[in-house]
Amino acid sequence: MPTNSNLEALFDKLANDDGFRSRLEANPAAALGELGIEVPAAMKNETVNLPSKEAVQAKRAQWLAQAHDAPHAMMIFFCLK
Amino acid sequence: MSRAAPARWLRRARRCYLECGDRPWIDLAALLRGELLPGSAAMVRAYLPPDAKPIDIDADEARVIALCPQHEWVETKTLQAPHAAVARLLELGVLRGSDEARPEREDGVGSDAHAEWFGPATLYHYASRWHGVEARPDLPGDAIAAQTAYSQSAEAFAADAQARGPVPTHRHSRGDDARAIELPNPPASGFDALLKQRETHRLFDPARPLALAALASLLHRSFATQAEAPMGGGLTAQRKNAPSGGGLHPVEAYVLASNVDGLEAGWYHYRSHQHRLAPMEPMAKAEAGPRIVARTAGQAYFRDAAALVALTLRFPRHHWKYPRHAKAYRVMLLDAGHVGQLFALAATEAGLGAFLTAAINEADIDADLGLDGIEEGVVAVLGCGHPASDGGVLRLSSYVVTG
Repeated sequence: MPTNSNLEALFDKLANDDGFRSRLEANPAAALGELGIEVPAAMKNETVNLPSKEAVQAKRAQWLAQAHDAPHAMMIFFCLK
Repeated sequence: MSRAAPARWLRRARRCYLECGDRPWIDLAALLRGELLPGSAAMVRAYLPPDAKPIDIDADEARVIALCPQHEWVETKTLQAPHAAVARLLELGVLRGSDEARPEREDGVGSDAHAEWFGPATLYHYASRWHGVEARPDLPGDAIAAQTAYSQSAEAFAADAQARGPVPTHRHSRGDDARAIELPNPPASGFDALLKQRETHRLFDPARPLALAALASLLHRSFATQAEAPMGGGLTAQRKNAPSGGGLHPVEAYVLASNVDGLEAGWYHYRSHQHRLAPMEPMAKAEAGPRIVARTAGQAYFRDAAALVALTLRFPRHHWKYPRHAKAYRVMLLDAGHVGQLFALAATEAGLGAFLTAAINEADIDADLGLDGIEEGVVAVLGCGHPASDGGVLRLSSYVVTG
């Protein structure tokens, strides 16, 4: 089962690591396996076309914030009773 | 890399509560097509009391936990589990290992206090405890900062309504509308006037310390034992001004004095049977305000409260009569709620302001008080003081349009 660390590592690699992106295009299962991420068998033979590094970078903070399960009170700043 | 074989025998040695669910993930198939789309992934989190923070475990580890009983040893090889899963659970203390030829059955696991809990309640109790949570930095800390809070929150609610759909109505009507019976209003009395005045206060006057006698009145009315009733077998029920399941009154009050005349700043235990405050942790007065904010998860507007009262539950007190009872935890939380209203009314009657909050760092308050959260633990925090003259901006009465 993937963890938040897996997600963070995947975003970092996709946004910054050209070597990882090349390996992912060549062999998704092996590249994702480097990060401890399992790939469903049905996906292993697909042609790979990755999103740009900029697109990944633009989404990184928002996705990780959601994944890190911030306590709900953080959304409440003015709660009258 | 090969790992050393784990122990020959295993059993579960530590309380462990598992939560199954989903976490935000990434749609891997879409990613490989060039799209960033949200997905979800299964997850299992383990809560290991008294640790406040849950840990992720994988499917192999969850399976091993499910296969290992508390009291009987299981031969490791029969589990057919990966070494890494067993090794991690041994390291976490969830499992205990033995290499003896035939280890003896062991009856003890954790403390007796754990055994009296209803399991799902324990999971909720631990899953809802915070440690070191801090509110958003834009939380208003004074009346000036709060001036725009109402309009900002109104904008936020409007955005929420757009994103999540309409708010459930505040005027709920069920039953036969045509035959609904008009009821008389209560005759006006001082009690109604008191109830009408009660509201949550958030901003307090730092220049007006709370008199010790005023604090004493609040504590006496909210928590003091009024009478005792022996029930047999050494069980004594108590009468207090708030109701309590079984007359057991598991709620305890711990005062964090910050600005109380004649009382040094710090934590105290209120001894409800003696009407005394027993010092626990003295602190410099300057330290008390920041401590209040930190323990209420960064609610900066509470900084000048004259005193906090942490409400803890003494779980074994209630569980002695209601062991492993599915309703026990709920009844104890209700007990804390009853006391909260009583405290608010007592403060209102005295011309003081009060609040109750559950947005608190339970694990940190428990640490202040030397509690483990399972024998006894905090569930809510009350606070009081003289209202700030400009505190209306954070009170609901300033925004009332009807009634």
